[in-house]
Amino acid sequence: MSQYAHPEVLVSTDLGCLLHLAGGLNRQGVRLRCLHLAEVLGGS
Amino acid sequence: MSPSAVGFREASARAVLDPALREAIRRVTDNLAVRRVQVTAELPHFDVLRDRAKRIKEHTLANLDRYLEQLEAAVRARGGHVHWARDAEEAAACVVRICREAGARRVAKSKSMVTEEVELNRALREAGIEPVETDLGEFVVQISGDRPSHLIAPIIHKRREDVAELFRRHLGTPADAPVPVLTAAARAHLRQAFLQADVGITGANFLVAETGTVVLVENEGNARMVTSLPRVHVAVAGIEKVLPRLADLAVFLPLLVRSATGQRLSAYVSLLTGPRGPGERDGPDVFHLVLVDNGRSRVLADPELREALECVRCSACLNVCPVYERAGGHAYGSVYSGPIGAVLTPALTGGRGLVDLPFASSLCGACRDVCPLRIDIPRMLVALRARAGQTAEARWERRAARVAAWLLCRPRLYRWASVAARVLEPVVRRVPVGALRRWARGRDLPRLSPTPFHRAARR
Repeated sequence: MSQYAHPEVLVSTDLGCLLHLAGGLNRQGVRLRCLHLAEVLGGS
Repeated sequence: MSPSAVGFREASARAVLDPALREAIRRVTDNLAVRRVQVTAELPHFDVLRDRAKRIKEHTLANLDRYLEQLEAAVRARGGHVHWARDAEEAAACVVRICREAGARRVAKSKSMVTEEVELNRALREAGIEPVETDLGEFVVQISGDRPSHLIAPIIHKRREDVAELFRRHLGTPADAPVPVLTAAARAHLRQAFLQADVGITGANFLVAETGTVVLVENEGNARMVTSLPRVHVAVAGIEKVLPRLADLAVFLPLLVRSATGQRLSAYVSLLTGPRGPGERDGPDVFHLVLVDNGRSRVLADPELREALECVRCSACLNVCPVYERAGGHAYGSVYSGPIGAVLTPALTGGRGLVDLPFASSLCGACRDVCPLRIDIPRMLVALRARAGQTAEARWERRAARVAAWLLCRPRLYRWASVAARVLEPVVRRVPVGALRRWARGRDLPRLSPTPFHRAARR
């Protein structure tokens, strides 16, 4: 997915999903920041 | 149900690395799922049938003792014999005893998941009786020493070339034989099995309490041969298969067939009531019905899981499950695979597979949406997860959750801890903790943001 859409950030509200998504993307060598909604609201 | 050598986690991790397996599964399940949507959409009252079926099943299960006794009386009144089997051993031993008393050396079987569940073929062979599976898929499973990997398409995991090679070795067909040649060879081989069999063994899609009727739904005609040629017919069925009245079939047959194969009706539907009667031209001299409990009473007594007994084994939930499509049926380590298998296996066995099967799901809910009985599989998977959390294997998770709950209830301490965590983060990241290694295999621990959220939110 990420190879085609070229997003910069992936945002989710589910911590469990984020852990898996970040882990999976990282292991496939896809550079994509995975953030929790709180991090976006918090301005990071 | 023999215990699997490895758990779901390992078996599925291996299966996802096999693109050919995934392609084979996807081809069949997509086809079945699309046909199901087409033929259910053409019945405007399909949802009415579903609601009706649900009420019938709930009523029947709530009065199961009464309907089973009515069934028993009806079968006896028509000259049949009824046997009750508490568990898998009793069920298999009962069929073996019937075969011995009939002097049987060869038996022909039609497709039946409950006989897989009680491992009947093994018991028969140990007693010196040769069982022959006559459903084409089950025949392939048998000659390859394999196990079925789908409720209604048992060799979904095999390619055409695999079957051609098997038939070359067992039936002497050419290695490059096209499918019609292969099926013709199987037909000729199985014809002998029907003619030579002393006993025919079937399962039952439904049992009708009112009339003592065994209902068989099939497409190959082999079940009809198995129940009309041999002298003795033995039907083996789980106690949850009973329906109160013959008229209930008008609700359940369209639901089952349309949800299972996407046909309007299967090629054959047989209603078998007792042995051959006076003046009837075919059918067995003797009829036995073996009613199998094997954990079903326990599930019936379990309010959270009772709904699983409403399953008619149509396999619609397998065909839409993203986890089944990737893991394949064998990974579930049980004759019952897919979403309903992930519930049935721990439920029927009182806990086998409890540590991983309830987690073999993303809880997306597709299984519940397509189930003709609207069985709430995700709800039961969550209930089973809660039970898995109470096992000894989960004690560290339980302790961690208790510590977290304690900390989260103390805001001031939590703030201190969040400062401490930021100081200690680089150190913690470098410590390889053995127990966490498996957890960390597929996950990345996110970096803590420099400012805690509660402080940023206050600004």
